[in-house]
Amino acid sequence: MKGISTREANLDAAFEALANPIRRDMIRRLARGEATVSELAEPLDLSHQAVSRHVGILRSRGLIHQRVEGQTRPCRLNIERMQDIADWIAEQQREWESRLDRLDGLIVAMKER
Amino acid sequence: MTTKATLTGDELIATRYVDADPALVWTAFTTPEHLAAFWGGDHATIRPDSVMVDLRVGGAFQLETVGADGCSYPLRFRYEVVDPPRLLVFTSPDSGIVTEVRLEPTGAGTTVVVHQRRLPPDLQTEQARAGLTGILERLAVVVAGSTADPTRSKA
Repeated sequence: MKGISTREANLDAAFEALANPIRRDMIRRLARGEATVSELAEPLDLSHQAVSRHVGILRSRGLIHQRVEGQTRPCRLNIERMQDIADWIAEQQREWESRLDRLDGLIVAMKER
Repeated sequence: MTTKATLTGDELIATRYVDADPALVWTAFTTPEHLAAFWGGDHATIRPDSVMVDLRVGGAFQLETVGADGCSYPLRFRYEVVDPPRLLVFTSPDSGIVTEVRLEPTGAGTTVVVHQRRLPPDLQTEQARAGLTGILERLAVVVAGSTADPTRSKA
């Protein structure tokens, strides 16, 4: 049960971080490979401070890893956490697909009444 | 790598064409007897007498599922938008998951479109939820407007 609640808390944190279009853009950029904060900032019309804040939220919510390399701080996706999110969505999709299969059968029965 | 999440923060979970008009599909989604028949899919069964539907904004939708392991799990949701026969939105106060079921008239039938997103924990309070209800009600108006159907008069 402990494992489940940790997973739930991680998912909550991840979805909270994703509930923002700028951070989703950053995630899409990072899906193509590692990037420095300046590279992440380039396509965005934001102050350096605002970009750093978004990067900080992604890092503290566990979606990215960041390391120090000289003057730069390259970011990369936390693949395991992204996979957790994908797994959760896939699980919801499976449940709903089978639910709608049943609905389909039920509707036929309802129409025959 | 199997990661295929679209990451819009509002995930398309399922979409299905059903050969019945939206009114009948709406009835299936809002009647305890019918909900008990399909909600469990192939992963759980639903105790028919456990399904409770208080179909109004703020009303409760509750049911008890029995999984393959024989354990029963109570599920409870709260209706956020009730707009027959096209939009039903409910939240799970436990997980913060918001589920939106949209019924789109398609030819002689209905396309059922299910979206889900997670409500950040700081929005899971009563006060924030009141605000959310307002947002979702506006969403319902927008959805109704964008799919405006000249035959819509019985709602």
